[in-house]
Amino acid sequence: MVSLIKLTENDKRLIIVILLVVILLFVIAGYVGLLVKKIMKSQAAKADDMLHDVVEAGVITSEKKLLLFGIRKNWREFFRRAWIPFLIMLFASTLLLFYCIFSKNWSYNIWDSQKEGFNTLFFVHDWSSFYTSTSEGFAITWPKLISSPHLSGEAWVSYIFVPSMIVGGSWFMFQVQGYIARAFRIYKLSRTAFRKTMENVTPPSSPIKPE
Amino acid sequence: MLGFIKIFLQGLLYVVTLPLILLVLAGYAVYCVFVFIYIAIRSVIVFFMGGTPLGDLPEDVEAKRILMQRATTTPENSTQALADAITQSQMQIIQTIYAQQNQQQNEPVQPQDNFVTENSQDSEENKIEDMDDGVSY
Repeated sequence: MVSLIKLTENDKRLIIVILLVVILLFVIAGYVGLLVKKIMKSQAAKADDMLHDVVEAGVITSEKKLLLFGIRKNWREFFRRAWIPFLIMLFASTLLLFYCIFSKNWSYNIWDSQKEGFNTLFFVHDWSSFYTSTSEGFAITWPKLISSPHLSGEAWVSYIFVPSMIVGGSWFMFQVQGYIARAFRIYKLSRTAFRKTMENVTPPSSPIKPE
Repeated sequence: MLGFIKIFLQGLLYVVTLPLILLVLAGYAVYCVFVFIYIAIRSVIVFFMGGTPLGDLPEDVEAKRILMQRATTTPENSTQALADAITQSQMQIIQTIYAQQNQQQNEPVQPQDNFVTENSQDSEENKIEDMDDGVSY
């Protein structure tokens, strides 16, 4: 079996390079994960702020009530933080809808690269011709250029719609992440806030003996 | 090296669980859209009923009231307030005394009183002189 696989020096080099690239990608993914964790921790800190006063004042005295109160507060907090991206997306969607209604063009393609889509601003290649099979194996060729960047008058709606949706959507998803972070923190706090701890308890030096 | 391996393994874990993470995120995003619409409709109704749409919850109001009350009646605060009051009253007393002393020191000379005194002194001398003369008025 081993004798069937014959690797040349170039193949070995290629495998090592691919392996290094894969390791690098995993390490980058690890650092991205750590960054997301850090951001979520800072987003979750707001949950402590939301629940502190009611527990400190003794208004809420049970785990279940604290959890329900936390959920209600979290909804409000999410609304406060997400209304701007929501409005941005709503505006973009309304604009596209009205454009389709008034132009009576319901087949408007926002990703078109020729005249009415957002891709008119970019280089567009035909990736279907990236590799072709030949009698000797596969041949990789640089894909053909379909469209070069140019401004198109008919694409103005997609120029507004696509960036607005990208910005609004990313912002909204960031707030969803914050909502999840706070929800987890609220759940954890509701489980531990009323639990007695032995961390800082020291027994008296002269214990009272039972009679 | 150990840290590098740890990061690498974490990255591997994140990549493997990425579809699940994205699924959870997408689920929460849909849930959050419904939450958003619910809170928006509720806020509009509360607004037109004359309330504050995103104001404090009743629990928050109660907690604030209790904490305010506690802050004004804690022993440390009452002791501090008493100490402040004593210091203030002492300062007032000292200022009053100081002002009185200043007033006494800077009091202008009243010529009429001196005149009376001089006159009285003169009259005493005259008396003595008159007595010497053997006449008393």
